[in-house]
Amino acid sequence: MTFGKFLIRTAIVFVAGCVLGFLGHGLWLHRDYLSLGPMMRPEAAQQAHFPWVLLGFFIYSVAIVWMYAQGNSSKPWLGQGFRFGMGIWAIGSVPMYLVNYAVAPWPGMIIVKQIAWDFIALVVLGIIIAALSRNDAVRAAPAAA
Amino acid sequence: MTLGKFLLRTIVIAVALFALGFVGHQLLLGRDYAAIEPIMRNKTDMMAHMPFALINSLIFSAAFVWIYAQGRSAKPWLGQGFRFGIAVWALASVSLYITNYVIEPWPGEFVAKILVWELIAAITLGVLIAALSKNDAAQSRATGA
Repeated sequence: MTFGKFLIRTAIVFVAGCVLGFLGHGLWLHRDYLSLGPMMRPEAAQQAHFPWVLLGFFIYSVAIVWMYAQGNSSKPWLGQGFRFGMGIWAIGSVPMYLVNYAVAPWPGMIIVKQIAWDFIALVVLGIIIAALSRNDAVRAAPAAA
Repeated sequence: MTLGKFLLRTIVIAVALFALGFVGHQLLLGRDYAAIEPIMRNKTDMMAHMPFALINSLIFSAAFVWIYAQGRSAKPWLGQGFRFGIAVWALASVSLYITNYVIEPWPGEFVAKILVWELIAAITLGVLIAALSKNDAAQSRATGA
């Protein structure tokens, strides 16, 4: 993968992740978050801290693109993307929400919704990165031969 | 990788994860957690939710072992483990703690300390799984030949 491709894929995963995050956490779960009251920062303070979310998700996108490239093989890309999405859900999202649930008084139903939404979102992201990378393994094979 | 090896490595990583978590979050950062005590569960409640932390570490460890196995190559194992650790840190820890910082009133300096510790812990786990898997490439080549 060239550096240019790496940057383009990172940008696409970043944009797709932001859209999915907005749909899940900004729209669907918004009312649930409001019900948490003083546990959360006031909305204005959350907005002021929002650039940190973008930075965090940019770093996350770089890691996804790099990690997928390491394990990309000549197997069917759709299955690879699905399994990769599940893998990053299990390593990133499930621990995040379970740890939060164990140490802070998050209601169990919100945690279930968060984990379910992230499963959908990360499988979609896994399929997107697999689709973007689907010709890489084919190109790499003749070069290696 | 056989199922037996997969299970064994998952258990080794889960135990190491717990040990590193205890050293970092209890011994080194235990006092800093006092700053966010009002938004955390009390100790009794936290202990009652501990099984979720155990489930979390098993899910994380299984995904960690599986993803590493997908991308492992014949390159030097130490470097592979180091890079994998950084990627997992970017994927799992950065998003977790930056999100917590943005939506909950966690002090910035505390989050920075946690992220530094998590980077050390993730690299340790990466090097550990790379060391456990270092003979797999040779074995799979021999099996494939």
